[in-house]
Amino acid sequence: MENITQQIQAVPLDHYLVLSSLLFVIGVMGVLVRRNAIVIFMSVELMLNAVNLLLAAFSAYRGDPAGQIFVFFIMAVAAAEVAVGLAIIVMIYRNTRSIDVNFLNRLKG
Amino acid sequence: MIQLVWLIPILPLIGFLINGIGRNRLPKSVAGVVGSAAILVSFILSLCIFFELRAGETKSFTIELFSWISAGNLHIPFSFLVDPLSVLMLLIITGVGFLIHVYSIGYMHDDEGFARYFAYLNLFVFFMMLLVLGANYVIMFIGWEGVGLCSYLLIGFWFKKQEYNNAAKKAFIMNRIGDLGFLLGVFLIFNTFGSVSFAEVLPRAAGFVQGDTVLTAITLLLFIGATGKSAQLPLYTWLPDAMAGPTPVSALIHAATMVTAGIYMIARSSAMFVLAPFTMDVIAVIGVATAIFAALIALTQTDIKKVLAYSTVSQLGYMFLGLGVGAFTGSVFHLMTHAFFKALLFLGAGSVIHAMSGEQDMRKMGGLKKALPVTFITMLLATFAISGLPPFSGFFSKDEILAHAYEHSPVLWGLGVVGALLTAFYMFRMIFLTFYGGFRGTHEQQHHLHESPKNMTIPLIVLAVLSVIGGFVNIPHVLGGGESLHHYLAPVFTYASAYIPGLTLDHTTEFVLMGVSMLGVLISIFFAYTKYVKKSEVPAAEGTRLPALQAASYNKFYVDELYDNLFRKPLDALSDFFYKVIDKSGIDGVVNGFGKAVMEGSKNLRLLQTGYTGFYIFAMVIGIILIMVLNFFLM
Amino acid sequence: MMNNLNATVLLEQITGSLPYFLPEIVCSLVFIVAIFIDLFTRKQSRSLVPFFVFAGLLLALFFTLDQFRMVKEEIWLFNGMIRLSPAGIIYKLLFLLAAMVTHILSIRSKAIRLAPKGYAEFFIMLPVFIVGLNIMSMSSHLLMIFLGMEMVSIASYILVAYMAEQPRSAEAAVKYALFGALSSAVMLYGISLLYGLTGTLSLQGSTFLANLSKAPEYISALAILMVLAGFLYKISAVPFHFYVPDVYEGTPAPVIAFLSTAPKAAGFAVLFTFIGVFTLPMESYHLVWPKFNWENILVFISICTMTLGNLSALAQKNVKRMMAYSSIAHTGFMMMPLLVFSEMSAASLVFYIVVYVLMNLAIFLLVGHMEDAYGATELESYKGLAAFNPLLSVCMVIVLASLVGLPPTGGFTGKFLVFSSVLEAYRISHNPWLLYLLVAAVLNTVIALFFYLRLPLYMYFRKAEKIYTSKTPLYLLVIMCLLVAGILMAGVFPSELVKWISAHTAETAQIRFK
Repeated sequence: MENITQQIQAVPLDHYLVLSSLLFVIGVMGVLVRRNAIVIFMSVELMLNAVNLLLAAFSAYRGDPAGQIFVFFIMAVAAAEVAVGLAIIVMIYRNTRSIDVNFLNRLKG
Repeated sequence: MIQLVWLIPILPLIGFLINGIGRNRLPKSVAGVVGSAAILVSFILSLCIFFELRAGETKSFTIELFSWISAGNLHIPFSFLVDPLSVLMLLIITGVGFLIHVYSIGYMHDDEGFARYFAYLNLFVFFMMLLVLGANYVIMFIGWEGVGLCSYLLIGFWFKKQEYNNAAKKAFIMNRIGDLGFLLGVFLIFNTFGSVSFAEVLPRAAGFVQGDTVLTAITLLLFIGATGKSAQLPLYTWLPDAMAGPTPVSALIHAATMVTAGIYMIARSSAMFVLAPFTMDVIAVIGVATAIFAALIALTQTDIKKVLAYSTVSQLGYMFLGLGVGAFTGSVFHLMTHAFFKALLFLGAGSVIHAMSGEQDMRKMGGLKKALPVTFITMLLATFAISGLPPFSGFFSKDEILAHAYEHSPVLWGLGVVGALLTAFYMFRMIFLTFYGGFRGTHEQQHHLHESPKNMTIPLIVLAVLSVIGGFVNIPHVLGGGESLHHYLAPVFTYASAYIPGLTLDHTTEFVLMGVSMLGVLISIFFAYTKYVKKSEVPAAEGTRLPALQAASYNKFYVDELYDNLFRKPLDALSDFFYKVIDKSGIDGVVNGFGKAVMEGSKNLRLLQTGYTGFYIFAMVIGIILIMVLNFFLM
Repeated sequence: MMNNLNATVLLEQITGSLPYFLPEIVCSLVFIVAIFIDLFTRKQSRSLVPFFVFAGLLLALFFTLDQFRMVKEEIWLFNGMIRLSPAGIIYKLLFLLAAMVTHILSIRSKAIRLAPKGYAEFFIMLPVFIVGLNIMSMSSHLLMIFLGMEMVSIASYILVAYMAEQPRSAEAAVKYALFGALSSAVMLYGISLLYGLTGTLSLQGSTFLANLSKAPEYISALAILMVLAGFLYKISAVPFHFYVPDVYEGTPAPVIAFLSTAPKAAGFAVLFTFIGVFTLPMESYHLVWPKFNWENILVFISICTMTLGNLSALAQKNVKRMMAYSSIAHTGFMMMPLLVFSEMSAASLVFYIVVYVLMNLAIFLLVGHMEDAYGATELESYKGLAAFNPLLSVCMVIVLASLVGLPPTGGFTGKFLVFSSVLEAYRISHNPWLLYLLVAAVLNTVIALFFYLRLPLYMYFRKAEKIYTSKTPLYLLVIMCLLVAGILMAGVFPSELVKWISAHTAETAQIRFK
C-alpha cells in the first residue's frame, strides 16, 4: 500500500492535473462535437475518468483515503447511469432507426 | 361596536359564498335578497359605527384581527383602521352599493347568470371594504388587487361576446401597470420607514423635510398606482371600454367606488404627499388635463354609456386636481357627491337602455321624457348636480375644489372652469338627445317603451334625493355654512393641514368665482338647448361627413353660427382628434406597442429552444464560461 | 491505520445513528422487497406492488413525523456524513407529500397503466426517490450530496423513459439523460478540484472554507462554479434549463408533477447548505467572500431565469410546456432568498418552496386530468372546459392566481416574504444589484399574469366545440380541494405556518451566523 502511494507520488502532481484537465477537455469537446448518442455517453465517461484520476492523485498526495473512496462511488454510479442511458438509446434507435441526437427535435419552441 | 367592524366585510363575503356555491340551485329571488341583505346589514353597521365615532372622543381605532405575517423583522398584522375617512368610504360603498344591488335585482332579472352576478358583486364589495379598512398598505394592496379582479370578472360578465373579453383584459392589464407603481411605492415605503402601517408611516413621514427626494419618489409611484385604478392620463383608456359590463356594474365599480380608490389612497397618505410639492403639482396638472381631455371626448360620443364613462374620467380628474392643490376634504367631498349623482346617471342610463331593449346609441333615442318620467326627472336632477348648479350637491363640492385651485394658481382655476362648461354642455346634450325631441328608434322599440319596475326606480329616487341634498354636509363659510364635513375629516388630515393653509380668499372673490363659473355653465346649457332642442340636431350617423355650414337664417341664429364657427367646429375637431388620434392610436398604441414588444421578444426567445441537444449543451457550456467571465471582469 | 478502539467508536456512531435514519431505511427495504415481488410472483399479484409501496411511504411518513419529536436541534449522523436538522424534516415531509400525491395520480393515469412493461416498476422508483431526496436535504458532505443527487437523477431518467415506446417520450428521456450526465460530470470535476484544494469533502466546520481561502483565486472560483453548475441543473436555472420544456412536454403529467417539485426542492436544500458555507461569520447579512462574487452572480442568474421563463411562457401554445417555463420562472423567484442570509430569508425560502410544491402538484394534477378526460394538451383545446367541471375550474383559477402571486393566495404571501427579505438585505448592504433584482422580480410578476391568465380566459370566456360528459373522479376532487385549501390557508392565515417554519429554520440560520 505504502509502495503504491510512493509510486504515485513519484510523478509530480502537476502532471496529474494536466493529464486530467486534458482528458476532461477532450470529453467536453466530444460531447459538443459528436452527434452519435453513444459517443456522447463515452465522452461523458471520459470526463468522469478525468475526475477519478484527479481524485486518486489528490488522495495519494494528501494521504487521505476519502478521495479514493469517492472514486469507487463514481465508478458504481457511472455504471448505473450508463446502463440507463444505453437502454434509452436502444429505445431511440427503435423509434428513429438512428442514434444521431440531432434527429431528435420534435420537442422544441 | 367599533370592535365589531370585522363584521362589515365578512357579511358580503358570506353573501359571495352563498351565491357562489349555490349559483345553480338558488332561485333568483333568494340570490338577489341574500346579496342585497348582506350589503344592507353592512350599511346599518357602518351607520352605527359612524355615529359612535362622531360621539366619541377618540377618532381613530386600529383593530387587530390576527397576526397575518410575522417573519424576522417583518410584522404585518391583519388589522382594520376605523377613522372618519374610512367610515365615510364605508358609508358610500355600502349605501350606494345597496341601492345598486336592489336595482340589479330588476335589471338583471332575465339573465341566466343571476346568482353568479350577485356573487361577484358581493365579492367586489368585500374587497372594496378591505381596501378602505386596511390599516396598512399591504391590506390595502390586497383589496386593491381584489377589486381589480372582480372588475375583470364583471366587465367580462357577458363573456359570450369577444369584444367584451378584450375590454376585460384591457382593464386588467392597465390596472396592473398602475399596480406595479403602487407595489414599488409600498416597497419603498417599507425600505424608508421600516413599516407599512399607516399609524407608523405617516407620523414618521411628518418628520421629513418638505421636498425630500425619497418622499417624492414614493408619492410619484403611489400616484402611478392611482392613475391606473382611477383612470387618469395616460392609463385611463380602459374605463370607457369597461362599459361592456352590465350597467349597474358600471355604476358601482366604474363610477361610485373602485375608480375612487386612487383618491382614497392619496387622501389617506396625505401626510406624505404634502411633503412632496413636485408630486402635488404633477397630480394637479394631470388631474386638470384629464378633466378637460375626457370632457372634450365626451362632447361627440353617441353611446350613452360612453358619454358617462368619459364624464367619470373627467370628474375623477377634478378630484385629482383637488388633491393636487391640497383640497383633500374637497376631493373626498366631490368623491361622495360624485358617487351619488354618477351612480344615479348610470342607473338612469341603465333604465333607458332597459326600456330601449338594449339600445345604447343616443341617435336612436329621443323623446323618452313621456315614457320614462321617473328616469327622466331623476337623471335631470343628477345632471343639474354634475353641472354644478346650486343648490345641487355637485355645486358645493366642485366649488370647493375650484376655490382651492384658484388660490393655488388662477390658471388651474380657469382650466377647471372650462372643464365645468364642457361638462354642462355634454351632459345636457345627453339629456336633450335622449329625452327631448321625437323618437328616432324603430317602431318595435317604440312599442316596447316602458318605465322600469319599482325596484329599479326606487333606488333612482333615493339617489336623486341624495344628489340634491348631498352637498349640504359641507356648505362653505362664505354661504353661511358650517363646513361639517371639513370638521368631521379634520383628524385624518392633521399632518397635512400643517402644510396646507385654509382658504384665505376674501368673500367677494369667492362670490365672483362662483358667479363666473355658474354663468358659464348656464350659457353652455343654453347652447346645448338651442342646438339639440330648438334645432333638434342629431349627431351625424357614423361614416357620413358633418354637413357644411348650414344656410340658416342669419338673424335668428346669429349666436348659433358664431358659436358654430368659433367654438363648435374647432371643439368638434379637437374632440374628434383626441378620440381618434390620441386615444385610439396614441395611448392605446403605446400600450399595445409595449405588449407587442414583449410578445416579439417572447417569440424570439422561443427560437432559442431549438430542440437540438447539441445546441443545448453548447449553450450551457457558453453559459458557464459567461458566468466565469462575469465573476472576474464585470462585477 | 486505525486501531480497534477507533473502530468500535465508529461502529457505535453508526448503530446510534440508525434510529434517526428510519424513514430512509424503510424506503430502501420497500424498494428491495417490491422488486422481488415484481420479479418472482405471478402477474396478478404484481398489482399488489403499488399498494405495498404506498404502505411503505405511509410508514416512512410516520417515521418522518416522529422525527419532529425526536429532533429539536441539528444532530450529526454517521460520523458527520449526514446532518439531520429540523428544517430538513420539513423538506422530507414535502418529498413524501409529493410522492404520495404522484402515487395516487399515477395509479389512475391512463398513460402509466397501459405502459407495455407493466406499471409495477414505476411505483418501485418512488421509494428510491425518497431516499435520494432525503439524503440531498440532509447532507453536508460532498460525497453524500453527489450520491443523493445521482440517485434522484437516475430514478428520474427511468421515470421519464418509462413510456419510451412513444417517440416523444424517448426524445425527452435522451435529452434529460445526456444533459444530466454531462452536468453531473462537470459537478464532479468541480468537487474533485475542491477536494484537491481543501483536502476535505466535508462542508461542516471551518477547515473547508479556511483551506479554500488559501487557494488561488481562479482555480477556486472555477471549482465552485463547476459544482454550482450541477446544483443549478437540478433546480433548472438558466443556462441549465434547456432540458426542462422538452422533458416536461414529452412526459406524463403525474411524473412531471413529481419531477418539477421534489427534486427542485431538494436542489434548493443542497444549494442552501453549499452557499451557507461561504457566508462569513455573522455581522454582514450578505454573502461576502473575496474569491467568488456570490451575490451578484446569483442575482444575475436569478434575473435571467425568471425573465426567460416568463417571456418564453408567453409564446407557448402547449399547456405543459407553458407550465414548464412557469416552473423555470419560479426557480428564479426562489433563488432570491438564497442570496440573502437572514433568519427571515431562510424561513421565506422554505415557505415559498412549500407553496410552490402545493401549487405545482395542483396545476400538473389539473393539466393531467384535462389531458386524460378531454384530450386537452394545447391551449386551444381548453376552450369552454369550465362548463363541464365547475369545481375543478374554480380550483384551477385559484391555483393560477397563486402562481401569478395574486392575493389572497399562498403564492402572494410567498412572493411577499421573498421580496421583503431581499428588501431587508438591501437596506443593510445597499448593494444596487439587490435593487435591480427586486425591480426585475416585480416586473416579472406583471408579465406572468399575461400567460397564466390565458388558461382561465380560454376555459371560461370561450365556447367549447364539443360537449363532454365525463365525470370528475372523486379522489381527484378530494386531493385537489386539499391542495387548494392549503394554498388558500397559506395566503389568508400564513402567520402560523411562517412561525412554524421559522421555528425550524431559525437554528440552521443561527448556526451559520455564529
